[in-house]
Amino acid sequence: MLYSICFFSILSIFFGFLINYVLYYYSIDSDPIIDKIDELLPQTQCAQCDYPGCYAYASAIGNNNERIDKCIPGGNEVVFKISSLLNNDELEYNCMNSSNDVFSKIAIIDEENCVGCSKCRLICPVDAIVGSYNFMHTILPHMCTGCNLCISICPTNCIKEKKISYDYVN
Amino acid sequence: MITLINNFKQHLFMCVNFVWVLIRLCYIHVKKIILFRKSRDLYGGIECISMKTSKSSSRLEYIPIPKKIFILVDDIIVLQKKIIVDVGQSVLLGQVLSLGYKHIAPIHSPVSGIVTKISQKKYNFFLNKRFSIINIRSDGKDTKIDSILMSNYKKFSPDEIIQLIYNSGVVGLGGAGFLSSKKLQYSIGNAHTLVVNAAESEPYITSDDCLIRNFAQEVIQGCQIIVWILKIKCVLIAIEDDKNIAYIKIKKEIKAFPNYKIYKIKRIYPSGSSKQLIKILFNKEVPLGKHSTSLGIVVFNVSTIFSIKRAVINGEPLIERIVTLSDRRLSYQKNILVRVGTPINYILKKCNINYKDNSVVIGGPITGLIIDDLSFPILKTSNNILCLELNFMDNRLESPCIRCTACSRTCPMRLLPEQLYFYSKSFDHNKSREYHINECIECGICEQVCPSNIPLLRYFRKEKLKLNEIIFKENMSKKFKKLFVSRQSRLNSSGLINENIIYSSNNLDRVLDKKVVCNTDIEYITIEKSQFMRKKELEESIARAKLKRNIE
Repeated sequence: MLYSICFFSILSIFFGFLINYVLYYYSIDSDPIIDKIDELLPQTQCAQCDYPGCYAYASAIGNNNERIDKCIPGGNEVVFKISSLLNNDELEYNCMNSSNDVFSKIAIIDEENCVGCSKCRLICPVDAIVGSYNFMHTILPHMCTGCNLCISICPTNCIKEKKISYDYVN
Repeated sequence: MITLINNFKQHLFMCVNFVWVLIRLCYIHVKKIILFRKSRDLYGGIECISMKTSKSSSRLEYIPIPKKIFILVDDIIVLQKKIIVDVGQSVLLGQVLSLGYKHIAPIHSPVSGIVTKISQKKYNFFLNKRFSIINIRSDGKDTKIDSILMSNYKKFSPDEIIQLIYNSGVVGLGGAGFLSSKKLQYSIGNAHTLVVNAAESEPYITSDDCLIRNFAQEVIQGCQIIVWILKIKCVLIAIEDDKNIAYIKIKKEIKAFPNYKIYKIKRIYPSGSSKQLIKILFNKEVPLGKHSTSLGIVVFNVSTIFSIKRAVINGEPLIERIVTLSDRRLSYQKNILVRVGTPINYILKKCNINYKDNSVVIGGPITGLIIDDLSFPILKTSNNILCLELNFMDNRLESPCIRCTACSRTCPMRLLPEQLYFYSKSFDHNKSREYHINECIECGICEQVCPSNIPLLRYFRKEKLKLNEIIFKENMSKKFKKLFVSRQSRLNSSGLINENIIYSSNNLDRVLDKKVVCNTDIEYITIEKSQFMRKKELEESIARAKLKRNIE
């Protein structure tokens, strides 16, 4: 009787240490499902899905049962990919706009009319805009995602979008 | 005693039998290897009827220089602002019109004259892409620009010669148009053999044959330049077995050099492609997704070598090439030396061909493009103009696939075109990538063999474009994610994160009562927002004025 109690108490203490060790050293910071959804999203950070970025939308899908078909630049392909990832059979799919091709667009600042308010520099999600307060701003074309966030915030309407071919960005 | 002898006999019999079996096995093995090498030099392929007349390839003909010349420029070069000339500027022969960018070579002016117009146009049959065209009106004098001469090329370093080859705009003239300077640069130190590709497997084309007959000496000089640059040990020249005169002419030139060799090849259709040529000559296969330089072999077309010689020794940029003109019934077949940029209807007019009742094809009959707009100019890579009857496509309606597997038996790259067709029709991009659609060399045999007339090449080209787009998008999204994460970590570390700016549930959107912003109604929103901002600024300024008044 006493032997068995001693044996199991020592065993439980050992396992307790082991579990704590594993939890401390091999802990997972992020949810793996959310990371997988985040990889499927197009990463333009355009905030057209009513969330600040692509990771926030992915975590909303994972945690709060958000609707899948809110990503506008991804279009139909992303919806089908996420639904196959989540095994979502009951997909009520009202055909929204087909994939809006943001990858082949970049924003361009009309540099004569820029007054240097630096609102676009603050809102740009990928730091593609260079400039400082009361000075002219420019966009680096190799980093621009074409998300159109800067177009709607500019007070003087001097940012326009331009179509480009795929080879140009490569 | 008798038993002993019997035993000995049995042993001897056994030994002889054993040796006999061994010899036979060896014999069968050796025979198998030899037979295998002889019979199986190329998988698949078809034997076309040769539509070449020996008269046509013996003589080179010239036509007068046209008054108007159109030069196609890719859209990327226009976006990068690499075009040097302006409208109204006078241009000399050999002057640079536009600089090169990445995988596109610089373009030179083929005539002397005045630049009249730079316009944009879209050709439906050619890649479905927007091109810009430089129009030049020639003055008929052909005054040359001064150029660098490297006739004693052994004084210079190999890098300088490669730079000269790039500057004179030499590309692969076999059809793909790969930059030959880049090919040379990659294979420095790797290559030990040079293969000269003079096998034209397409039935109508005789331009390479004509080039060898007329300029055999210059081709060998071009080979020597490449041998000197890459320090190559042996050179193989591959010629088809029906070109006897060209074979004799090259053999005369070779006699002085011990490391040059000629091979005659059987006339099977895709033997002109570089991977198939290596398979025939060396019995080696190029591994998946790699170039032929990984085996230590460099393949160059004959006309490319000729233009390299012209660039280095004579100092001429690539502005003219030999084009075969032929009819379907072979009532005429000519080889003409044409400037790049000559419109096709001008050539047809000069050769007295009635092009109104015919449909015109550029390139070979198997892989060529049918042309609607006859003002399309001749490019650096086009080597053939074919006139066919107007209604030859009438009985080629597409009917459903019956799974006869004729295409997969003849495919030289051992792909399964019949499976790829179904995947590309149902937009199954992952599957088509698994079945190696990128290894397709677009030879067009599957289309010729198919009993139900399915245009398989068109499907594959579309699918390849779509796959490139998907890979491009994946790369871009990885790049964007890196940028976004770096910005986020920067903001977090400095404590500057301002949620009001990023969240779309801010003050402005609440006023407009619209949370999701579509790209289509961006303009509408910008106008409304700017009006709202002005109102707000007015109110603020009025409030400031009131404050000031109260203080005073």
